[in-house]
Amino acid sequence: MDSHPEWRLLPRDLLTKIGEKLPIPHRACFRATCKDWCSAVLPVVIPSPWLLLVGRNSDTCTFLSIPAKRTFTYSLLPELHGVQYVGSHAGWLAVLYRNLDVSLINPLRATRICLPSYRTLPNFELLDGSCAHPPLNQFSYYSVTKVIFAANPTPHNYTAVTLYGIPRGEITYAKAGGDRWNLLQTTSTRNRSYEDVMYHDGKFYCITFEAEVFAFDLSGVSPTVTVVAESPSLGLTHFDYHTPLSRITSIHSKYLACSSTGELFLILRQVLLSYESLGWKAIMVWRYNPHRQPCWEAVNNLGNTSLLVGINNSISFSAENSPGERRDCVYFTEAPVRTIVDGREELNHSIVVYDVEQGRWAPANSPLQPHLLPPIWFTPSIS
Amino acid sequence: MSEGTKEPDGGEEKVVLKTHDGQEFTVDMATANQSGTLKNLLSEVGSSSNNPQVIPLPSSITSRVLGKVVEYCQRHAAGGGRRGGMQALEQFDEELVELDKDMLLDVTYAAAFLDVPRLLDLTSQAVADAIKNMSVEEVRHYFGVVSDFTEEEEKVIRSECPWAFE
Repeated sequence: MDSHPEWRLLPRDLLTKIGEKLPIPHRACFRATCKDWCSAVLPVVIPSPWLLLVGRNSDTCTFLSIPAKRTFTYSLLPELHGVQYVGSHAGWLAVLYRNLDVSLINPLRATRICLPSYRTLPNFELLDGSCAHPPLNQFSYYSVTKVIFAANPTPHNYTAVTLYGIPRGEITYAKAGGDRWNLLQTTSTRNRSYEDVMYHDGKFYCITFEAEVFAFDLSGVSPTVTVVAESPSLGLTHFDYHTPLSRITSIHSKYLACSSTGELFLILRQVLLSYESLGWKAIMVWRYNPHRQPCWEAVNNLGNTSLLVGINNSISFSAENSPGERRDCVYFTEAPVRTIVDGREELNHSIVVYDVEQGRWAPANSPLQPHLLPPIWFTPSIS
Repeated sequence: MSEGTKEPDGGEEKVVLKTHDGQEFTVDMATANQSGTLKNLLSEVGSSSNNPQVIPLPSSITSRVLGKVVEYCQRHAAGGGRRGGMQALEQFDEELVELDKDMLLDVTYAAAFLDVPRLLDLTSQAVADAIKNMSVEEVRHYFGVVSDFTEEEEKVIRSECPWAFE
């Protein structure tokens, strides 16, 4: 062959063509190859975090980049058809299938790690995917609240915790090499009901209905636990407003979140929100301070970061790299908000943004519509 | 002359594609018309079964490469109405571009030169699929491309999308 074409000499229009066939995030690697390849493909500036907008029976996966205020769409991986999204952490999504199989999937790398099926859960009578309102102590497709897992999972090295069961929240864990889910409890944590789980710095932080916080270490043969915060038996004070424990237990959803500098936050949110009552003390935030009793200190700023909570490992998002983006806010994705539409009451999952500094609701900067299914925070990674 | 026209003697119009390495491919007009380049050319010069037009091709399109392109064009000239419908056609397309990287490049060039848009789509997609899970270093190695960025320039590109390089 006297004039064999070479890849490095590909004409511009062919390079553009190939570049455009790449999923958007992968175009960055294409552009970084050499100057010709760089100029052939438009820049990729899609800052993290993204919001995965969940549609029903859709063939595509739509993401919204919060800092870029731009949506973009991928064709859906076959593994993501008809799934329920139950978790998200550092580039990976946890997904649940109707047959109670569960996987971790990196949608950008198209890689998948199968976790043990929920059919291996102990002490639970299992129901199939058809039962939307499972009786107590029965496990169905709809029982899973969220799955939290350690970052950088591989088939040979993963640790995951599932929070499930309504209204009683149980926690269960699975590790690489195991073939089943095990109840996560130690002698000092029996008979607890849990509301939120967060992974941070090698430990799973779990908060109970009574606002106790435990840190479980699952790296050893059996779990070990540290008490991070005891239940505030006298309630919690948020500046001039006191909430007794009975109200904390009954009318507030509890969230744990962590800033990029490792500070732990407790967020209380009224379980059911309506725009008429959106306001005073519907959301309160405390910072962990082990030197105080109770160890939660009310805060009215988040140190220029915002906290993103929902069906994900909580994310701390610095406004520094995203000019114009709100700071000192908490973003909720799965807060049920009651609205009146044509005289009828409707419950939707709106993105609710709460400005901690101002102590009030902030309009979302992005085109965030109410959704029937809550969207999921996602921080892209192809590592 | 338009696609599918029969000549008075009943023979179908043909055209001969001749590669640089001396091989000749005789194809019917419906097949040739899958290529925008050939269609334009033949609409000017015409061809017949008794005296088919011979079209010489550039040296980059070897007989092996042209074989692939002709295979594609013949199958698509027949359309989805034959041999199992659209699904079979899609499967044919998928299998056609299961090629090593040099052959993939040659077929991409040929599809671009002969202006066969859907084949070009297929090969571009196959190239994109091949490199989509690679790091920058792997992409460079795979294609034998050497970076001509300064360290500073590369840093700027990478900062566009830092999580892609974690």
